[in-house]
Amino acid sequence: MINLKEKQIHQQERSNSLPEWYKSFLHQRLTAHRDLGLPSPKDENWRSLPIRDLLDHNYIIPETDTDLEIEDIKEFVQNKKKNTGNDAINVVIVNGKLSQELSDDVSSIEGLEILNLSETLVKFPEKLKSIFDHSVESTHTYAALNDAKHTDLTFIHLEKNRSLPRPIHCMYLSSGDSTDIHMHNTKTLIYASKCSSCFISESYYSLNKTLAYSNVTTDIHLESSASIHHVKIQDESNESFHLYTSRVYQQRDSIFKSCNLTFGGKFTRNDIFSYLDDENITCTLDGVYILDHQQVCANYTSLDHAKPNCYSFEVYKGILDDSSTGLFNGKIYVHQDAQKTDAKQSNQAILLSENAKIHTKPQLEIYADDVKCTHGCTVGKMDKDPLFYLQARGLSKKDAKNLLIYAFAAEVLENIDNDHVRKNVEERLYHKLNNKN
Amino acid sequence: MIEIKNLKAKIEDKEILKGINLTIKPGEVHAIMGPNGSGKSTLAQVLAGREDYEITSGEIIFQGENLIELEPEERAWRGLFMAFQYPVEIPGVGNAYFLRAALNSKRKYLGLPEMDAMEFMTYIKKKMEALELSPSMLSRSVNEGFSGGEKKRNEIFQMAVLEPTLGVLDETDSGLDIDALKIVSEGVNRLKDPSRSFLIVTHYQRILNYVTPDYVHILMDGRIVKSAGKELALELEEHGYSLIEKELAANV
Repeated sequence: MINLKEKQIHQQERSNSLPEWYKSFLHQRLTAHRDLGLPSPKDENWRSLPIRDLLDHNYIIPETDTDLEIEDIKEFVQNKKKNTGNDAINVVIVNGKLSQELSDDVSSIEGLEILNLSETLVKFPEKLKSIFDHSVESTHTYAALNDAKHTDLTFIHLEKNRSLPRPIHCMYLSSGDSTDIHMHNTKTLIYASKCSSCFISESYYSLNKTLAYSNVTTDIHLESSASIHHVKIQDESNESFHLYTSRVYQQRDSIFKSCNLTFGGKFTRNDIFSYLDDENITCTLDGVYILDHQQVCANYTSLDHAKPNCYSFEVYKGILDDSSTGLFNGKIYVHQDAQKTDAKQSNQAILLSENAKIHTKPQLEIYADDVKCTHGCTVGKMDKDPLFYLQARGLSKKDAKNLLIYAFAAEVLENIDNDHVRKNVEERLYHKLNNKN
Repeated sequence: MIEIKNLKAKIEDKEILKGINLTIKPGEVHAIMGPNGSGKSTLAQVLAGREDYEITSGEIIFQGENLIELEPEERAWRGLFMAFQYPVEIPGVGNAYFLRAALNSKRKYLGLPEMDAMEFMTYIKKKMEALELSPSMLSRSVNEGFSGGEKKRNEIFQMAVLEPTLGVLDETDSGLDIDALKIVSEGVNRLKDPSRSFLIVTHYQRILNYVTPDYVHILMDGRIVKSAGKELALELEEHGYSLIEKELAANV
């Protein structure tokens, strides 16, 4: 336990040790957050979402680390590690803070560095600054708040020409507090240098069932010819508010492939912004969200085609039961300069209950004349014909339904190249379906 | 085996089956023939348990049990199989997985141990070869991208795997060329057994050249209007349904 006086000194020291440019970034982002204010139902960026719940709770941002006993979460972490495979590099982040003790030691892995804030400021200040410079524009109020209020960060650096044979698994654990509602501002930055490549997954879990806010940003920078396969799994408790912003900046010939999966959370909002800032870039943004009870999940994606000859692919699939609410907002912006852009977007949702709701909004803004852009959206109940066919062959109604839901999601899930992760996700999906009907 | 008594069924407000009576004994092959819209396919679907149809009266007694209140899967477990007129394409669901799941559900009901993937492959190998189905179709999605003939052969293959006591074939011959028709018919003949019966629903007589029925029934406007031996099918082939219509008109 740290007493209050020590806490203040701790704060003071931290602030003193930060470079000026960093302090000015924090300041500028706080101003941005204040200017944007909290969301209102009239706000275009929040409309159609039941945000009252989100706004009704007053949260506090803990100034120092929550007092968690490592021993208590060790077992939790060990259990989760079992799912990631023997070759995995496990990175554990607790309430926004990188835990060296719980994470695997990466010092022997050539070309990979996983650092906290102070280490990053010493080792990669320019690269950190470069990510910040490219990530500021496209953002909303909670991302600005995260930018301003994070107390630590996790910086994952891949050196050039390094193709990482082992997958990286980031495990984010958050805990609620019994007296106050805590907001954890978790910040991760992934920097892939020229011609590097890796598989990286991010999983979010709750350590307890107490209401907490996870306000997360994961910013990803791909230098030319870099390649990242990214999977994000939101599996927090159904008491949690989860606000996730990912700002992806891509340079020439880079490939970013991402799969965004939502199982848990009371209210989840994912914002993914991709900026394709040179030629011959490929960006794939896929996602599956499976909701029940009163769960809310909103996926906002934005693909910025700034230069010619780039490709983007996007498939989002929603499975909604009970009184859950889903939202998909897919923006594709093709700049005047971005000729020969090839962009495909599709959003599909199955509503399993009369009370489930889905809002879907494709937004295409195209300022170039020689492009291929397609988008499609289907929303429907479960198709009766296949269900009857499976039942007529002897599958129980429940099994038949689950199999069809699984098949619906499979188009996205089968693109996850890591067997361990894919199998886990499939099991999680079955588990959620089976606990249902 | 199965006894259908005064079966009436409607969809929305339209009555389609207007009192069907039919008894099939073990080992028998029955054919139901009728013009378009007579209710043939409805009968097959109602037997299999499609919930779009509302049964307004009657009973379907299958091995001593009334099927009407049972779910489609419960009927399948008890040994009823319907080969679909239009087999459904199910993207994302693998053929092998699906069929093994179907077989194991039935085995579970019968109190038999589940078949693992290896046993299953051995079990189905010969059955596939007999229907000239390529093993590669097992890893494809159910019926997805199959030709019309492949879909129908797949239906008969599934029937061979699930070994039902009553096989209902809903216009299995439609859309088949002569070679495919022969393969399918041979598939059915191979399954003939003193304890297994078939109900062949068809518009045309030609499948009956290969699978010989013991009885032929003519269905018109939701009722069986004539029943006889296999010669009735040939009669129909020659004179068409209009002759039967005339006969009926004369009797009124």
